[in-house]
Amino acid sequence: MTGWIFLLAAALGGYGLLAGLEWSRWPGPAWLGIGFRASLGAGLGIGLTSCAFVLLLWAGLPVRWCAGIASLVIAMTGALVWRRRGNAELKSGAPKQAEHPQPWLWLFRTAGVVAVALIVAGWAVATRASPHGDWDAFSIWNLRAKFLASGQPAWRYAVSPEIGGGQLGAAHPDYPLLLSATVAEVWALNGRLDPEAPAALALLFALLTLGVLVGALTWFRQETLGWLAALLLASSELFGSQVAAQYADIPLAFYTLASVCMLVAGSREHWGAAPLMFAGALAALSAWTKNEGIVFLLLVLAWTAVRDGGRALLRLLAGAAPVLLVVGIFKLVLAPFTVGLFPATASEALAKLSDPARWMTIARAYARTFWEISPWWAHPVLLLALWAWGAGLADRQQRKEGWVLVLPAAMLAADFLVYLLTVADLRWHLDTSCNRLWLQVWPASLLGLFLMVGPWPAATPAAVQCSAFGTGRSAGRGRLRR
Amino acid sequence: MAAIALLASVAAAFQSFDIARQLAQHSPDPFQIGIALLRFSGLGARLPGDAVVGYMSDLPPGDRATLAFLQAQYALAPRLLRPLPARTLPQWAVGNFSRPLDVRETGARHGYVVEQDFGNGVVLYRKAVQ
Repeated sequence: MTGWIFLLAAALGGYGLLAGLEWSRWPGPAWLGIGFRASLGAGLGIGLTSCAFVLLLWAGLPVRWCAGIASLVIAMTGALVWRRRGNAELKSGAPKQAEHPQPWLWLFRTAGVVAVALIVAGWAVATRASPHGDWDAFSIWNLRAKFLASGQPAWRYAVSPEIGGGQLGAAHPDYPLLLSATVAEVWALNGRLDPEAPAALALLFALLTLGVLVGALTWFRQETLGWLAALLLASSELFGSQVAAQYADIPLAFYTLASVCMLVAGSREHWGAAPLMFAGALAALSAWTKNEGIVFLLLVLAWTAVRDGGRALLRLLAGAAPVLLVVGIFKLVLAPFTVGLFPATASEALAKLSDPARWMTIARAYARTFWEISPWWAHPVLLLALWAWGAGLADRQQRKEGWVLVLPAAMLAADFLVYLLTVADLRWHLDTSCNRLWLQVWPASLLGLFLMVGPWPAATPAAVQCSAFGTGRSAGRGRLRR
Repeated sequence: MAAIALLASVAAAFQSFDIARQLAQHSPDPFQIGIALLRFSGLGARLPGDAVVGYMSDLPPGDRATLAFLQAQYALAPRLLRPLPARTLPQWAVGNFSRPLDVRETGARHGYVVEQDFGNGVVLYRKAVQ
């Protein structure tokens, strides 16, 4: 129980850290604003705590001290920020944005709650049958959590080239540690390695992802679209089948979505400091979750530099810096260097790149994965097309925010390149990972797609003009742009 | 339009749940981690928590051998398993066997003597004195 209390403290710390985002102008119902902020904040707080935990372990502290101190540091930092920024926000008295009516909203909310309940029920049934998760859970993520939770000196086995019997692909000591460290914190403070902890954390990250998706679309468009997007996510086989697996793909999907959400907020704020810094921190946490997250972080940095120049990039980097420091220490000092999947020579790489059969095999696997996201009659493409047919597209200015789709698309392109180059058996590699790579970008893709479709019913011009969520200054700028 | 989207999504969510339920019913614990935890529980209690432990098996290299190793590694973590033969021999080793065999002779081949046979293919070995 102690572990969960400290984890809650870390999550509340993350909630407090988000105080710089002008929540008084939240456009939807207050409870939804709290839920959205809690979802974002919990992910932020838990991620930052895992960074501090690993640093303290590396410094040589006993494991229970590491877990306790890490949670309390984040909780206290969040409380300090909340006290300073939260009070200033209350005093600013910024007017709440006008809500425009959304008929049948209750029906969307009910359907959303039903879908979330089914996710929880599916997780419960699968977890009861396989409490230790799927293959990667017991061979990578939870195994490394056991090492970390054992403290000094055996925690270093989590980054030993010997785990997995030294076999390529058996235990991946070079994988980042966010998920394993979070499980280890709970285990260390609870004093036992119960399978409920990683299972509950897997469900938590799935729920946080749904919470951010509903909240982000309520923030940027309307609550109806938020619930519909969450419904499409929760009902997709791609997502539902992975909730109980206890893998790092849903946590990565969460951090990718949260970072993209903050980038949209940053663009609305004319690349204001607070959302960009959070975008940087969340993108860096995706790099601390899985190696694919490092690619995402690089894409976010490159895209921000190209789109809005050096100043925005510096703000992004300022937010990412604390986590990047930990990722850097991990990759350069702690984790073994592995060449792993890539060819040893340029000629071997060129031969793989110029093999049309490999391109076709990967393209077919991508198409199959996309087709199998949901049954055809509930496929997101069909339902989105139907929605766009009925409600139309967002107005031209709003549609531009669909640029965020570039990021998941670029992630999938980078994954495609990795498959082209892999020295592992291509079919095995695709069979064991392709659906999870799509899962990593699926929530962020849904956000981007729903930013491009119209609201239902169509918002009045006045409501559209008020849709920017931020300072009065930036909302005014939004009006000027139109 | 909204009603169709809602109905289809909710129906897909029910279908997704049903698939999860059927999978759980037909193949619970497909990698038999629960069984591995039981098999190695007695042996784990005899080993120091942070030990590096030798590992020997009768399975030829392949998927079954990899799964057997990973089951044992997960069950015995935070001890670290080192497959034998190895350049440096740990003080303790574990045998994970899939069929009856001469456990003394198998251990001796790697430089170990039997400390305790826990049955069910699980054997604890101690490094032989040179």
